[in-house]
Amino acid sequence: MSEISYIAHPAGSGPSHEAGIVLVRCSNGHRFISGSYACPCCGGEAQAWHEEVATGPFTVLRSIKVMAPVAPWPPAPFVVAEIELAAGLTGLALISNVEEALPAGTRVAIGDVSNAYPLFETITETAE
Amino acid sequence: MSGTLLSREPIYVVGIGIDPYSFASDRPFPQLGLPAVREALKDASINWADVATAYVGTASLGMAAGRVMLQHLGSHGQSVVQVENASASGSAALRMATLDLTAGVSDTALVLGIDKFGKGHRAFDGEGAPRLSPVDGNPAIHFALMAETYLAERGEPVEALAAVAVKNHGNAALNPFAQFRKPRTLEQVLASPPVAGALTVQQCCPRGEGAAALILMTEKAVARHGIDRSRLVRVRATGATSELPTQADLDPAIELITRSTADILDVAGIAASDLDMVELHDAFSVEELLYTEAMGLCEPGAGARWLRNGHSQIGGSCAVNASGGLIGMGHPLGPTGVGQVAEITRQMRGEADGRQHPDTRLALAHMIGLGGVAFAHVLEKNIG
Repeated sequence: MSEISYIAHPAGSGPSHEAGIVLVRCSNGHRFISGSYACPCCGGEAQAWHEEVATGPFTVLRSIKVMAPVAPWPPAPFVVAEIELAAGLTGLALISNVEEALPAGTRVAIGDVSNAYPLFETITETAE
Repeated sequence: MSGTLLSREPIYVVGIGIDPYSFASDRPFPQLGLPAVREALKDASINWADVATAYVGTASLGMAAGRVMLQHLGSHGQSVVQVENASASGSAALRMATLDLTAGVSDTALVLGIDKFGKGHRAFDGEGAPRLSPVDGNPAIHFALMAETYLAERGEPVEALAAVAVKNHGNAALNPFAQFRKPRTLEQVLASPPVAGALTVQQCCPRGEGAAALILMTEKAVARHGIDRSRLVRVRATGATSELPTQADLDPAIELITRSTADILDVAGIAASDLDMVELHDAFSVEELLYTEAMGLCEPGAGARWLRNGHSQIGGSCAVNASGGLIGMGHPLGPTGVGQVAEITRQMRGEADGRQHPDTRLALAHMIGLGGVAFAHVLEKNIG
C-alpha cells in the first residue's frame, strides 16, 4: 500500500508530479485518479473532493507484455502493470527498463515524470 | 434496464441482408450499405417506400451518413436517425427501432449497421481527464490482463483461450458473410503473432468494414403485407444499460454482462438454460469464456470446460457465435450487433446452410460498447 499524504496541488494539472500520483477523494471516501469530473461511485461533484498524493511504492497486481502496436505510444514491445494506488484504487502503469511481464507482488516506484505519463520502475523491496 | 415487449403488439424481424464483412477497401460506404438494405427489403418482400423509419448504427462514418446513403434508394420522407454507440452502435439502432414500433409511432422500420474502417475518433481521448498511462482503457490490454487472471484463477492453460478462436474461426469458415473464411487449428492460433499477454492475433477480432440490415414490422404490418409467418422472428425483449461501479475484485465488464443478461432474461421470462443460441462480443478470446460464465450458460469458472465439452459448438446445447463471432465473422463496429440478429434469424428459419444449429427457438444477441454500455435482445422463432 502506498503512503498517502494531503497536499495543496492545482486540480487538472495531470495525474503525476515529483511527489507522487495525484488522487482525489469524494466526500464519501471513494478515491480516483485526478481529473474525474464527478465521483463515478456516488455521483458526488468535484467541489466536494479532496486531493491526495499517492507516493508509492506500489504493488503490481497483474502485468503483461504488449508485443503489438495497440496504441500510438509507447512503441511495442512494452510492459504494463495494474498497480494498487490506494485501497480499492488501481491504475494501469507503464513499466520502464524491463523486458518481461512482472510477477504479481512486485514493487514499483515512480520513475520518470517528465513525460505526459509517469513511468514506473521496479524496486528491490518486496511486498509484505 | 429492460422494458417488456411481451404485453405489447409483437415486433418481428421480417427481412435480413448483409454485405460481407471485409478488410478495408476503396468502396464508398453506400456501396456497402445499399446492397444490404436491398437484400433485406427483398427478403421481406417489400419496397423501400413501405419503410416508415430508418435507424442507422455507425461508429465512424460521420455526420448524416444515413440520409446521404439512403437517398439513393429514393426519397419518401422516412425519418432517418443515426445512432452511435461504439461497438454497440447497430444494437442500439435495433433497440431504438424496436421501441419506435412498440410505441406505435411506425409499423415498419429499417435497421442498418454500417462502417468503414479507420475514420472513427474516440471521445475517450478528448475527455480531458488525466490518466495514469496512454493505454488506460485500451481494449486489447484490458482483455489481455483479464486473460492472465482467467488462466491463473481457473488453472487453465493458454490452449483454453485458443480453443475459442478455433471454434469461431471454424464457424466463420462456413459463413459466406464472414471476414475470415479459413478454419484454424489450435497450433495455428497459438503460433500466430503475439499481441498482448497470452492473446495472439488469431484470438483477436479483425478490423474491417461491412453492412448488415434488418427490416422490422409490427404484427399489423405483417398481416397487411402478407408476410410468410413461418419466417418470422420475434423480438421478445430489448435491454440497454451501462457500467456501475464495482468492487475491486470484480471487473466492471463482468458485472455489466452479468446484470444485463440477468435483466433481459428476466424480462423475456426465460432462463439461460432455455437459450439455444447466443451471439456475444468475443472481440478477444477470453471474453467468450468469461461471458458464458457471467451469462449463466455454464457454472462460474467452467467456461473453458464447457467449451471443451462441446456445449457451445453448433449442435451443442447452446451454440455460441455460430456466425464466427467477432473473431471470425468480424467486427466492423456498426454492423456487428445487427449482423448477430441477422445470423440468429437465418438460423431460426433453418437457412444457415452448412452451419445450421438444430431447433433454434430462443436466442440472445448481446453486445457491449466502449465506455461500458451493453445492449441485449432476446429473439424467438415464431411458432404461431
